[in-house]
Amino acid sequence: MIKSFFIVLCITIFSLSLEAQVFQTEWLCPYPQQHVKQHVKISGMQKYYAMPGKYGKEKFILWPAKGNSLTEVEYMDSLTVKKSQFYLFSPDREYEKYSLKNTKSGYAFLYDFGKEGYHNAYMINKYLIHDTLFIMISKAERLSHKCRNGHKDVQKKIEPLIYPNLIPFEMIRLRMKPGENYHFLLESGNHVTFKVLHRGKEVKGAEVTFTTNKDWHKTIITNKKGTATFQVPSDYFPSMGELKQKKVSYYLVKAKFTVALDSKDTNSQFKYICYTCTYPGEYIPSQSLYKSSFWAVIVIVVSVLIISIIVIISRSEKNKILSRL
Amino acid sequence: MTKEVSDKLQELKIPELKSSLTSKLKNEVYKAISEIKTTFQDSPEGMKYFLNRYEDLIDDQNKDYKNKKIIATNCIYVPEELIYASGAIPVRICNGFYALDQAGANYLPAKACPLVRSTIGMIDNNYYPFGAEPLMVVNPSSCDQKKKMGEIQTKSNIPIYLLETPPVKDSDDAREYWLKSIIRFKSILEKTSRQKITKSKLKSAINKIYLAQNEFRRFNNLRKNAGIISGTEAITVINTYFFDDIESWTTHLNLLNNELEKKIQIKKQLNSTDKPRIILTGSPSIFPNIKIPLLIEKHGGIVVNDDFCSSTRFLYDTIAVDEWNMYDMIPAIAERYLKPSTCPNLSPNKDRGRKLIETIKEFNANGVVYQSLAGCHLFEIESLNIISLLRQSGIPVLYIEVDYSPENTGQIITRLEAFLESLT
Amino acid sequence: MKKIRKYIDNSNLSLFRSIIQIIFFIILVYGGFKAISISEKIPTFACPYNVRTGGTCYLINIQHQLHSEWAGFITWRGISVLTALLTFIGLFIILNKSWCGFICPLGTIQDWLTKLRRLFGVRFSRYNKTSFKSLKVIKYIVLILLLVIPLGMSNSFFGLPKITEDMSAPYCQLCPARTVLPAATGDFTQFYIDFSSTTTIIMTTLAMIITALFFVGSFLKKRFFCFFCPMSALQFLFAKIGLLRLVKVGNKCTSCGNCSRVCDIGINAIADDLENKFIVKDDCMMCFKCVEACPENNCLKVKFTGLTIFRSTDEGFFKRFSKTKDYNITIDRKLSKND
Repeated sequence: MIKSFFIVLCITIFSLSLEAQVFQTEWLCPYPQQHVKQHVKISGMQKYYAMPGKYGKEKFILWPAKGNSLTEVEYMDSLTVKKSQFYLFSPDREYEKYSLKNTKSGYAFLYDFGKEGYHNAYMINKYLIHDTLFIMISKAERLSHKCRNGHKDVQKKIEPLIYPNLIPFEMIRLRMKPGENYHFLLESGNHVTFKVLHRGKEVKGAEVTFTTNKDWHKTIITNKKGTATFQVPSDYFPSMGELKQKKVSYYLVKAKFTVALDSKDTNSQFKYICYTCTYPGEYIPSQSLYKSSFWAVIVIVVSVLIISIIVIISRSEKNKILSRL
Repeated sequence: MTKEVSDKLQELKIPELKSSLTSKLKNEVYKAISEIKTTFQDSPEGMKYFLNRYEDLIDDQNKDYKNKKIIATNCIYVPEELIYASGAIPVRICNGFYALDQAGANYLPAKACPLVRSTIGMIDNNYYPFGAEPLMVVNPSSCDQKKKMGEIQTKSNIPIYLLETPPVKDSDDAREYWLKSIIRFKSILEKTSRQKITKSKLKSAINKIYLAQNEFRRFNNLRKNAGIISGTEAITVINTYFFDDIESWTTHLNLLNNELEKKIQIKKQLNSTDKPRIILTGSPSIFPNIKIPLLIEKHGGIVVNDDFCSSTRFLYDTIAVDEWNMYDMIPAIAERYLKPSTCPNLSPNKDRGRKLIETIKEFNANGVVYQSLAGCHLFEIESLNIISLLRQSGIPVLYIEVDYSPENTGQIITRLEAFLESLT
Repeated sequence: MKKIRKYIDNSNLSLFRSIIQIIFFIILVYGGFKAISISEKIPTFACPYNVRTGGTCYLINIQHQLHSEWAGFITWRGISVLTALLTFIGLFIILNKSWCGFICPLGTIQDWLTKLRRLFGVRFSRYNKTSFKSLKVIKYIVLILLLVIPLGMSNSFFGLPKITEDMSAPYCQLCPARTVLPAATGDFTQFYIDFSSTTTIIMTTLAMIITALFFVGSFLKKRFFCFFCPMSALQFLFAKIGLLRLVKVGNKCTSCGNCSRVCDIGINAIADDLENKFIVKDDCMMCFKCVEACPENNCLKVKFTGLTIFRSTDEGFFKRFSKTKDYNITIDRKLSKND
């Protein structure tokens, strides 16, 4: 009696832990853990982490990670890494089935910044539990730009790209209006909109959660256009130094959507597919903390008044001559 | 003689004098017109209008200007645009009448400039074109004699307004002085003609003068075809601008130009292509004092252009306005009347020599006749510089002293003949 | 051939110029909407701070490129500085300083402000001779500073400390195009004061004052900013080799002064200089208003690679300035042998 109870308990705990394991978020982490910080440094306008490479060429880095919150992050072990699928797409829609490199800082995506525009990196893992197939897609969009390459076709190159044939479930960050350009960094206070797509079509009713690395989170259900809009929070008072350096904080957006399969498909082992997609990103403290438009307007108005007075006084002499006209 | 009789005699005398003056003037004009008609057989049709205008001028019955607002001007420094804009008509009273020169001798010494004398003769005798009764006479202070003439009290009651003209054109102070002078003139004009000068009136006045200037420039360019019209006739045409209605003058000059253009296109045999081309410079020859150009053309030369303030310089320079508002039009007018001026009252007057040389090049002239009126010191003194400049450029020059009297032409003829022969 | 020449010489060049200005304003300020970009090294203002820009001005290029250590110029960076400069010169010499008069969007805005002032009937201001001479120098000082400060940010001059990074692209921080051109697309985000350090406070306040000065100055003086523009100073260094030229034949000049009277910038040298043939001065923006206003035949000429394409004629002058509406005469003259 006690034996069977014990066995049932073990199985329950095991399955629960499996589920718990499964429901740990998977994502491509753009920042390093404490023990690998010595090997990498922040580089470039977008403040991505990079690893110094041969001949002065840097390689930018993304670590596959999992965890329940941005602070408790665990790099994936080699076992899971071998089971996952990795893709890296260049801005020209060329891709490679990517295999992770084992670096000094652990298993990571490493890539050069060749072409200008957004590179998309994906990690896909599939788990089958009970009658549900969990497809967990981890996505990252990385912007590659060097000012010396010029600023041609900016509007075209920054449009988000999707790959519905290979990646069944995706999330894109809609670009900011008015124009966003290569020098863009998300700020606290900005409104950012994410669109969820299933095989290229907008998804209504997906659950989208926005979390920051100070554990602030908010969940929204997508509307019929498939979008969810969040306002990036400002969850601490940065010092002036941090404002100037544009100290980066991280956010992670998760989207979850379950699809029920057609009853006709009796071959499959599962009845439901649960898609999850994650999208990490960086944000900086709001520039309005030290930039003021109000004072600018005051300065302009005062200058106009003072300059007009000076000019009118200096014109008055000639006006006297011409006054009889 | 009783007082009554002497008064009556005086009554009779004055019209008598007047009639003798009028008949003298008529004679001068008829003589000049007949000389032109006989000397130049190949006259274009359009010339008839201009010669008729002079006949109208001396016609006592013609009183076209009697009930109009007339402002008499005494020099090309007076801005005619302002006068038109104030609703008045400018009539230039510089003239070439020997009879008026003699009449003016009552007030000015024998050694004075005959042009100034004839002007004061006109003012004194109230002998204005077409029975005009000017509201005022505008007298610029360009040369000494002209300036002082304005102070003389004559029989006339017409006010003489002194328009202050600077003796220098290059310095900023002089230009500002001139601008202020013009602005003051404008308000005087408005008071005299009792009409305000507005933006649109001034713009249309400037436009009227543009069209006249355009026709004049066309005429001037056509004279490059030497022989198309004689210099004397050209001077006569332009001299009618002094008193003629501007629109009528422009239209008829347009017709004359069209006729001349046709003549050139038909390539009429111009038998004067071998004649030496002369440019006249110096004191102006004003109809009917066309002695010098007539003599030159009678003795084998042809006057292709001149430097006179009574002909070419009167209508040559243009006004460029950037913004059609009073604050820009008035300074534009002021600048136009001062900056390109080559009047010898200005010092230094380097532009005159330059322009003369350029005119000689453009009109392919063979020689220059420099005339100065006896009594005009400015042109006499400047002759030294101009003649040396022309000689340096290898251009033959003849210097002659002239006056208004129809006699004393013997010596001039000899010298002219010799000069013209030396050019062929 | 002669008919074409007559047609061009009599044409209203100012109207043609206004149309070209509008076209290029639309291309350079709104070109980004259609992903148009003429060039990265345009010899006129086309501000990249305006996200929809249709090109980029050369000055921001040279400031970024000079922000490098001396050693960097020996490597690829030096080559890219040279290529950028050569592209700039190549683009520039085609139109010479007409880039200023016909294409610059900041110049177009100033011309529109002038039209506004005319509507109100407000009198324009002009510099007198002494002010003209002394204020002329400012554009050269600005040019030298904008070339030297980026070098001073990466290298130390005479052992002095390096200039702070807050001064990066120093001219762009002060330029009125940075605030005005994005505002033309509805983007007012460039109007701000940056309190993060003393340098930024000073620079952004100066920028706001300069923008205010730009509007007031351009309203009262035609093409106010062009007198202080460092692009104009930089262009003048290469103006002598330009393909488009403005030439004066001094002998034909009658000193009437029409040319300097209509000049927007107020250059007196066009009228006063009777000796030199090439009279494009460093302030000139080659708008050719002087050629339109000159009543002497063949006195002022516009030449492109030696061929005269537009000249001053008396017929053209009267056609442009006078109206024959109420008169039944025409200004046109028949072509004759002498033309």
